[in-house]
Amino acid sequence: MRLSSTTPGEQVVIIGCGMTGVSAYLQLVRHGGVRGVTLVDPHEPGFGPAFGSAHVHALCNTPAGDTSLLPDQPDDLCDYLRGRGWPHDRAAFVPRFQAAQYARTRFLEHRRMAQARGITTRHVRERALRVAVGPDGGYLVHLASGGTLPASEVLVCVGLGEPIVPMLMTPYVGHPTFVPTPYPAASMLRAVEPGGDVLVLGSRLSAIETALVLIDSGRRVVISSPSGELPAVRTRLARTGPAALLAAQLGGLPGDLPDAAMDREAARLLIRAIRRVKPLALRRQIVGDGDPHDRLRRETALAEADDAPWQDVVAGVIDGLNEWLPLAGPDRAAAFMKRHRSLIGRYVSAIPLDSARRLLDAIDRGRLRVRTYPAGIEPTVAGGWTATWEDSSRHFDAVVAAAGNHRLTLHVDGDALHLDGTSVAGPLRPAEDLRVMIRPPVRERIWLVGPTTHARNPITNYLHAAAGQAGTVFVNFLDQVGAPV
Amino acid sequence: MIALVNPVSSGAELARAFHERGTACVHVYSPGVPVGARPAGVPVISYSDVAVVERELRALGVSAVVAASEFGVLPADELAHRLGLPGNAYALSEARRDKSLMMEQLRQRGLRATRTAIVRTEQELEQALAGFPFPLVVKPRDSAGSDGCRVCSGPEQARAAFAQVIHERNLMGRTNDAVLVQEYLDGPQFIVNTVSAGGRHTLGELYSARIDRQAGGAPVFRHMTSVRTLDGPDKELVGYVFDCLDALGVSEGAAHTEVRRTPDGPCLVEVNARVMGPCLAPDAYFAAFGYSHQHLVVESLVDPAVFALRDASGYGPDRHVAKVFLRAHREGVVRAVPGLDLLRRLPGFHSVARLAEIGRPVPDRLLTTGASGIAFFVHEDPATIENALRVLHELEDAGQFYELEPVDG
Ligand SMILES: Cc1cc2nc3c(=O)[nH]c(=O)nc-3n(C[C@H](O)[C@H](O)[C@H](O)COP(=O)(O)OP(=O)(O)OC[C@H]3O[C@@H](n4cnc5c(N)ncnc54)[C@H](O)[C@@H]3O)c2cc1C
Repeated sequence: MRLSSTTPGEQVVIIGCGMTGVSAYLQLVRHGGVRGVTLVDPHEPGFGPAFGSAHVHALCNTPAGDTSLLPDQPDDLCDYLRGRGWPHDRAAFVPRFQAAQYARTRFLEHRRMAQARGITTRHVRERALRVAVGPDGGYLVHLASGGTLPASEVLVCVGLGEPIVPMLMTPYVGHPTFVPTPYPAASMLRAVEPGGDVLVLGSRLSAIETALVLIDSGRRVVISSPSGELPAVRTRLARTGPAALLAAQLGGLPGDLPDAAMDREAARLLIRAIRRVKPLALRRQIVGDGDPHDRLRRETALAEADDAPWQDVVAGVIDGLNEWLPLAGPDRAAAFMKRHRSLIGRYVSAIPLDSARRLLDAIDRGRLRVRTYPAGIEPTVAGGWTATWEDSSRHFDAVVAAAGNHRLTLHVDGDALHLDGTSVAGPLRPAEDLRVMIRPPVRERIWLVGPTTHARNPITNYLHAAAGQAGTVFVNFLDQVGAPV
Repeated sequence: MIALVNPVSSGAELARAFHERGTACVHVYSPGVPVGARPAGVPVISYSDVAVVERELRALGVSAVVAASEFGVLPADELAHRLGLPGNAYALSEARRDKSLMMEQLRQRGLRATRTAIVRTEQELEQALAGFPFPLVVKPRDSAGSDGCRVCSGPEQARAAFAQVIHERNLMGRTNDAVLVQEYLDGPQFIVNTVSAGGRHTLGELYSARIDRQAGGAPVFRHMTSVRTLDGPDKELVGYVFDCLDALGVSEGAAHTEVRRTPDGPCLVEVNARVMGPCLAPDAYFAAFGYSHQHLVVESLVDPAVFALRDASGYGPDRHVAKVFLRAHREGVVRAVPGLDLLRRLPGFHSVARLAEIGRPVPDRLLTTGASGIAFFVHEDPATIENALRVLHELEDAGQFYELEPVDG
């Protein structure tokens, strides 16, 4: 009997094959019970943009021991690194290219495993535009070329959207010395000669990494963001012990607390958790304000002295909030994240100690400064830029935007889930099992995995969360498929 | 007995391949070419009078003459012709060395050819510039290894490029008495290595190349990666190369052809009637293809029946090989090679050869001579190789592959 695309597991389509899509593929193949998998991505599986930087100083912001494609094998990246003779440490932040090569290697291994298990794997090098409900109850994935792919299930693993171009620079998109994204580093470096001055817009990890790449290759840099602040400094990111406890406690909070009580309860649990790691007053382990250069220096010293116990509970904040906030409903969860955005941003995405030292060295050598956004930026006739602050102005040879990426606005319209375009309805919120509803209350066999689930799980922009999501998705749908073959 | 003419550069590897096989060879050096190293027991003739060497080779019972480097192309043609042995069409010998004659020959045969002008004086340069669209290429009439080659986006740059090479000594040791102005071919570059026998061409290797352009317009060859299966455009490209070989009278032995895929079809950069250079350390090629360019040449002469089978079985290697020209990010004296560990741990890494020597200036920083190191990658997955090469090139460009002495020290 020829199976149609409505038979569960007959033709699973994974849209987007960065780390998240590969994690989903690996877990699918290991579980078995499916006939065919089609991967749709214009990039090669495993080489998505998030881990796509080839520069040796572009480091993961999660430690090697927490950057696994397989939720039940947290040391899988470490195993890969050991196998190739890379010196590493579970707690270390390894170059992102190593994580990408790990993903590609595991993908190739699992493609062979799939073949041995009778599962066909196909890679379609294209963008998917939408997923429509098919006439027979299955799905049709519409491709940019105009073609369609039948699917029994669809996993949407499309990652983040386009790089953010700060408002200051939107009039200058296309200008030869305005670099709208720091990736790949080689093209960015082509925009400015060694010895030149570069204004980097953004002050989170990708801006910091960009500044270090530029400084290493002989450029001078000003990092600039609306807050003019740098993230805190850390030496590790632990998921066990106090972090696990905090995650459970936060995750166990009721969803119906008033806003003020939400803040109070979260703060109480957080402070207790930190105290359990090391009884050190908060003001002795974080530097609350001040000049960003001085703050970086003092926080680096704290991390070096191992006086930053807050870092041992950060992973608990992420996991706990991902559990708890969905219970409070989308609006209140979003409001909570907004109230605490700068705090979460500063400590969840803290700077690895080694990068902090290199930043300080650059500051001391007069090659780096951190500032708030300029009031204005104007191109000069000679092809460079003049940035003006209240008290001064300065010439730059190039401006680089490193302010992160937009979130994708997936939306449901008519009988389809649209992956491209804009939505007026706000971010799409999947059901708690991450399924999409096109014909409510029917939960489609379409799942969102990774950063696109942010309307439900606020901090899914990292692999550990995405891989975990991919795992739960399978428990869910492979149960319908039946026992693994 | 096989005569290898001027077996220097990659020709030394060709000589070794004959030697491994136990084939009797004589190494022949034409006037002015210094005698290179050779396996023990191999006779050498360094001649000044072609009639004398002709007699000596006849006496040795030589059955084939092989051009064993770029320097060997013209003398090998002459010797094969004098000895009455199989060889490439003698009347077209010059057209196989001289790039402007080469293009003229293609044009006569109705094949797409690169527009080329020979320029000897500033006046001729101005005339040529008036008739060519920009960008255009300026390069020595007779050199190799990207030596003196510039892509020029305007007349000023073209004049500077001309002034830089005319009357200067080139990589072949000759003085540039003429410069070529050529149409710039827009499109990816490919390399097609073939071995011909009795006028039949066998495709040995097809590569696509990454060539960057320096700020001053100098092309910098970064790497080449082999193509495993031929799609429609690849077949068109290989077919065009075979037509070029026919047009240029290549009927015997190795050819190493560079060609670009332009919007209006493939177009020749140049045919070199010899094995590919530089550095033909055979193991990486065997790991990917099961043979190397030089071993195919040996097989075609020593075991023609086996070689003939290749035509029937067709092209289809098992894995990809990439050859990388390692580079320092600036001129300077090499202090250490800190990037070597990283290179060797990249997925697909196979081997590395001819690294620049510590304590000496980086040689030929921008040329395609391989003097500052060559790395080989072999893997079945082209995406894995491509990613590894991106990492490697970023490391080189960040100045972290070679560590150089500080500029002021
Ligand atoms: C610079 C940067 C560094 C990061 N570092 C870390 C880190 O160290 N550790 C960590 O855990 N997380 C990190 N992240 C977070 C990262 O976003 C998450 O880990 C994410 O889950 C990465 O994988 P992904 O596959 O979801 O995203 P991506 O790598 O962005 O991959 C998404 C893929 O989907 C494809 N795609 C998109 N739209 C379509 C479409 N319509 N049709 C077909 N294909 C499509 C894209 O081509 C791409 O290949 C980083 C993110 C960025 C941007």
